[in-house]
Amino acid sequence: MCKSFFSILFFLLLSLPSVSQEKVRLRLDTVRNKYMPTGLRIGMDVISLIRSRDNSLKAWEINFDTDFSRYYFTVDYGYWATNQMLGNGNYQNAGNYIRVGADINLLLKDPDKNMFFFGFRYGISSFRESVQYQNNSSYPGFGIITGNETNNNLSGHWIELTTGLRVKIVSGFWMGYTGRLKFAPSASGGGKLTPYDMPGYGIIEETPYWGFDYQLFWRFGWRKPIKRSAKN
Amino acid sequence: MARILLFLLVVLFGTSCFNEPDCIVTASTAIKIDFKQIKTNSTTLAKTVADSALVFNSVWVSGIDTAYIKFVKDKTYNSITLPVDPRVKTIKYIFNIRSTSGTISRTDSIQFSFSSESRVIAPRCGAYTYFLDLKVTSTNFENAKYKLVSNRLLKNTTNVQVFF
Repeated sequence: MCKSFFSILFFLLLSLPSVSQEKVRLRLDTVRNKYMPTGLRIGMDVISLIRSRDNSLKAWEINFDTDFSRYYFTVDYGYWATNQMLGNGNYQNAGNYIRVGADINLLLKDPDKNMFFFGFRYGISSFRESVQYQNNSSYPGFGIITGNETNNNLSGHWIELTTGLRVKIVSGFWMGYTGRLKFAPSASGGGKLTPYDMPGYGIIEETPYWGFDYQLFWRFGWRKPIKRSAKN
Repeated sequence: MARILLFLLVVLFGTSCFNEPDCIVTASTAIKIDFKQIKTNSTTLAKTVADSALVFNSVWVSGIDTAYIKFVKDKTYNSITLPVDPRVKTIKYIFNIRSTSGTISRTDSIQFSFSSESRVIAPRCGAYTYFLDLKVTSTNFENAKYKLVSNRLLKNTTNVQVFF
């Protein structure tokens, strides 16, 4: 119920940009070099680092984006390792992931390159996982069922819809967040352990799956943005 | 601005219900066998499947030294759930079926093979072994007398129907 409500609102918000684009038409002083990138923004996810203080998760993520007018090409690269106590055992995984995608900035004329954006990502993950557990058999004479399984070479992929904010705090420094609606996960390479938790995605059997990053960005510009006017 | 505030509210709401996995464990370590009979309507010749009530003198499970089911007066079975031994990959059941007169009228057996996989359900539920790829490897039942309904061992799921 909770997820469904969030999903509906998320997609309603996705429909808003087309309305706002009709209202505000930007005229460029020049169309020359419109799509030339003006800089590279490098960021990191703070939530991953904070959560890594707990022994059950070690994770980090770095983010890159560069502008092509209102469009941003983005790459996220991260690491994720969990060590979870189960009700009847223990589960561990570790692996790297990369997401590639694009965002569309709805605050194009903002001089500080603040962003309110929507976008998509295609994620790829390479990871390993293992589980140890014990369960009672249905017939006591058969003893305790013990599981000790490992998947060493798993790979997977998924798709995300994203939205978020980037707000300039001081020159060259931005803060913001990215909300992620992840879906269509797929993992291959598993043996007797069904893949459970995919780094970068989360629990594979849960779809859609939500993600949230709070990010810090530093921007390295090499060209001034083209001045834009709101006048028609 | 209103749009941004709305979006912030949505995000806050969404983070409050983040990814709570369900704790539904369907794994079973037993094979469910239903006993059926085919009845033919004498006038329409239409065939229907009905439950068949059997009286067992005993039911034996490989790996268990004593009878898993023993004779109980007036006790009939139209379905039985028999354990699988997780330490091995095959299991054999022997049915000593009792006639109404009280003598053993027939002995039937069926042997299954199966494989298993491990699945993590959720941290608080834990991980479970799921038995799958159930196959009948040998039996004295004729091919038409039994039917593999489900090859996965799940709670409240019939795996085999045997027709008498």
